[in-house]
Amino acid sequence: MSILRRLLNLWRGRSLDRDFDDELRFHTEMRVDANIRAGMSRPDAEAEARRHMGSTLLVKENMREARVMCWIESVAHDFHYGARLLIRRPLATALAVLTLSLGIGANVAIFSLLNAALLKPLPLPEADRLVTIVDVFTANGLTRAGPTVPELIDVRKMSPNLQNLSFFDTRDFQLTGGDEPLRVFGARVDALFLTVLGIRPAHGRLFQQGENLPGQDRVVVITDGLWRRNFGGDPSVVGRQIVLNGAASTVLGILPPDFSFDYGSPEPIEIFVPFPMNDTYTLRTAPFANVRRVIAIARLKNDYSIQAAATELQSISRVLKNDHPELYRTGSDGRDTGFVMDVIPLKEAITAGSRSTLMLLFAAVGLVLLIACVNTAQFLLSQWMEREPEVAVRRALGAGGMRLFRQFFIETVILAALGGIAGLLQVAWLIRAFRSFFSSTIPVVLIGSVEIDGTVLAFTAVVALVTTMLCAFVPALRLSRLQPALRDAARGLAAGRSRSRHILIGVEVAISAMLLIVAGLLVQSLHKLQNAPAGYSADGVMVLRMRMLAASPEAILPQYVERVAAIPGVDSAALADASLFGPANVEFAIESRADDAATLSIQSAGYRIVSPDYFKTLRIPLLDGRTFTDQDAAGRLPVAIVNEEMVRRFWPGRSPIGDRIRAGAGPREATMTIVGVAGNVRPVLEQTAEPQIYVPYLQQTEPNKILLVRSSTSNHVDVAAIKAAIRSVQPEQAMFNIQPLTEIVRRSSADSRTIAMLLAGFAALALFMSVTGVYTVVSYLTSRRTKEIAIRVAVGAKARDVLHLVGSQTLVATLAGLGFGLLGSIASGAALRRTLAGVMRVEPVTLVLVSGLYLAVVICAICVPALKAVRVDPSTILRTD
Amino acid sequence: MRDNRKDQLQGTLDLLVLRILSTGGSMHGYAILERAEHLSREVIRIEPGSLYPALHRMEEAGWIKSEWDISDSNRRARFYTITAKGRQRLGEEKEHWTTLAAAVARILKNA
Repeated sequence: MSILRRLLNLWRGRSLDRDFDDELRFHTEMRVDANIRAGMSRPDAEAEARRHMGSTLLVKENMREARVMCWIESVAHDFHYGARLLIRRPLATALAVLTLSLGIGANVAIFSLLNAALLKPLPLPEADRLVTIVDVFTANGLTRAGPTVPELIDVRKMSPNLQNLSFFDTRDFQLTGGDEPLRVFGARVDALFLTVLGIRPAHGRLFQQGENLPGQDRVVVITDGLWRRNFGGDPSVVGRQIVLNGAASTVLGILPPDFSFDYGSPEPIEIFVPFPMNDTYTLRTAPFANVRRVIAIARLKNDYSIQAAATELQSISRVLKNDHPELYRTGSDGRDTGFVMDVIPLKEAITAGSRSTLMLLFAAVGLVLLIACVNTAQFLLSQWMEREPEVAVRRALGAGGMRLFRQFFIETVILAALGGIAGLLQVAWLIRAFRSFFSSTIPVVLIGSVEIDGTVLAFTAVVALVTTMLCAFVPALRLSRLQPALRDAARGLAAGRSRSRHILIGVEVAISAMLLIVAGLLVQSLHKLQNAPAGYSADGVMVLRMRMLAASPEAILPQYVERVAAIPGVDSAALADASLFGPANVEFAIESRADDAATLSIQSAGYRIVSPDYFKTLRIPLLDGRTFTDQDAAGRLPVAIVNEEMVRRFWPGRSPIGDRIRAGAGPREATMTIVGVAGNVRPVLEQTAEPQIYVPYLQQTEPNKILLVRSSTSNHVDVAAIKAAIRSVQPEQAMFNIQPLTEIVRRSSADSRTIAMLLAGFAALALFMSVTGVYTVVSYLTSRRTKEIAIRVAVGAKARDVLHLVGSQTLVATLAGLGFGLLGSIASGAALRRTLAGVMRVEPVTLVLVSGLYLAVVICAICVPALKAVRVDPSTILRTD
Repeated sequence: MRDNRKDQLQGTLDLLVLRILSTGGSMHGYAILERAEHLSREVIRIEPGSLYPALHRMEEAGWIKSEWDISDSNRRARFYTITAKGRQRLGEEKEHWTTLAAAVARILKNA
């Protein structure tokens, strides 16, 4: 009876029952027939037969018990036997369990990330109904631009289905009234925003309609974290006034503790204020209105599908394009930008960035597990082949192959189960580490849901099961071919029977060499990107963020720079509008050459507002023309500096000085004359620089500033001195996020480093596993041939001959495996280069190094057991038989 | 191994069934029962309530195997045949029984 049918029997009790019924009815009928033949009347005959049969219910019960109990007993027996065998080799078993647990643990850990990031819904009520609305410009490949506020207002006006539509943007806020001005990160939201997300306040209330309007918008909602940290968790804060950006605002409510939100935001949001719905933002004619600043989030009605929403948004986009051709057409000939509004599930939008990373890690741990399985298969194979005589005898005595296989299978199950449990213990630990490691790959919204839940447990069980199958596959194949060869068994020698083991070694080496090279490639590429000249120097530069107070006039800025630069030990200081790196997100046109083919398509460049000493402070070379001065102020000729890359693309072979460009939106959109060319600044982890436009800080308004301070020595400038210098100009000025620039650069590549390190870790694990695999096999094969070796040594064989005898096959398998591994790594390296920016080509040096390392380690794994065998006195061994 | 009464009886029943099946072909439960009664000259009567669980237990242990077929009386019946493992078992059971019977006989004679 097959295992499958037996398992079916366990729960298909009813059909088994019918089987029993049929058998017993046949017996009764035969008895009735016999009774009638003996002369009884039919009723008497039937009554006698019933008496004879006794209680059929009881009989059936006993039959079922015979079936099930017998099976359970023999399985229990196999378990017992298997466990005893495993305990008999405690070290080898421990190693096998450890190997499996590392393989399973790594898989489950990465899966728990995958589960949280890709499988589980967002931790918000009915999160599958939440979507984000984006603008797509097919003409220039822009797929996920934020919509403008007037667009969203029109969508709400035109679609009765998209009423639950809201939006937000994020920024720094300054909270005063405490001991020291405090910076808080917050969002400006539409009144509906928190309601759309489905949040209920823990205290107080959320925003109401109308609170976005001028005069009613001095209200805030704060998160649980801010409430506890800054207001001591005092519920009476609700209704009280706080001073935010210099204006008194009333605290309306406090959000629940489990809420955190950082989608589209560089850090978790702690304070929510109403988005100012005044003409500046809502009228298309207003200067700021067409800036793509907000992220739109909507909750779809239950009977309204995403497809329906997409279709409706498409038709709305057509209307908008017709009504405002000046906004959605471009260039002198009014070409179509391919504008259309689209809808993306919020979850998908949030996790889009982590998908490929997680898949890469998942593939790597999958390979590690495969190696773990191969290793375990090796272990089991040697375990079983050692018992080959016993197995052969049992087969000769009639033990079914199925029965032998089951025993074998159960041993594997024990190993996989132990490995799975040990793996889960590691996962619990790993998850805690992951939460701090993957701070930017996995948004804060999701990080809390990285946990061991039902799905993860089920995955563990599946992995353990698959592991069992994989581990058992080759040994089972070997077992099924095992003939009852008593002669061989008696001798206990199986020369030339190690082919499958050597194939396994080859597989192991191939996979782990591939992992090693690919991981090495990523680490190397990352290292190269981090250490390549970036076009600036971050050493000794301190960065502070601040937000200009509404009360401070622009004229205060040169004073800030002056006072800071005057601090002893300060080499230079500069102000800029944003962090060092930003997306190339501002469209520009070259005015003087409107008909030039190169400038006809839409171009975008980075856009930075800087003070004159910006280039000096960051050591960005000025290649042509001049830098800004404080004379480049409002009311003077608008000027700009462009970078080398921009010149390379748009003024190839000539100087752009004196040409005029137009860039930005709103008041930023001015015609500027190019006065200088600066060197390229390569963003962290990018290979190339994007075109960049710099404009002087006195000609463009932006309240969010960063202050860069370069020290004249290698030590960083005293932060207190900087603060004091700024406060001597404006006592109310808060400064925050004070950190060395090197730290900012380091942190922006932290996730890539974590991933590269994890991959390197997995590769090291794979190397370790494959080496133990080789060692296990060689020492096993050697131990099987001790007698043969002893004879050879006795008749004068040298250590070298013995090494050749036991190691040559393994070495050949390793070389073959290495060959495949190298090919595989070249292929996967090419695939990686297509998906990840900045990955280098696989270098021959790497291949040679990895191969060398491999061979060295494998040769050690061969030599240790082989030489041990040689050193034993042949006479001792030969005498034992 | 066989240290209690139930096992003793079970062993005896197994012995009888295996012996009957070993003489030839496949038989259904009713035929096995009739054959046992006939061979023992109606001395041994096996209850269906003991026979069928025993048959299923023995099949589970791999000593016999079964399949559904049409009987002489044109009815569907389950037919049992002995396996190689069953024959081996029969040998062991027979030896055990002979030893036991001889021992009992000695005690009866000499006590």
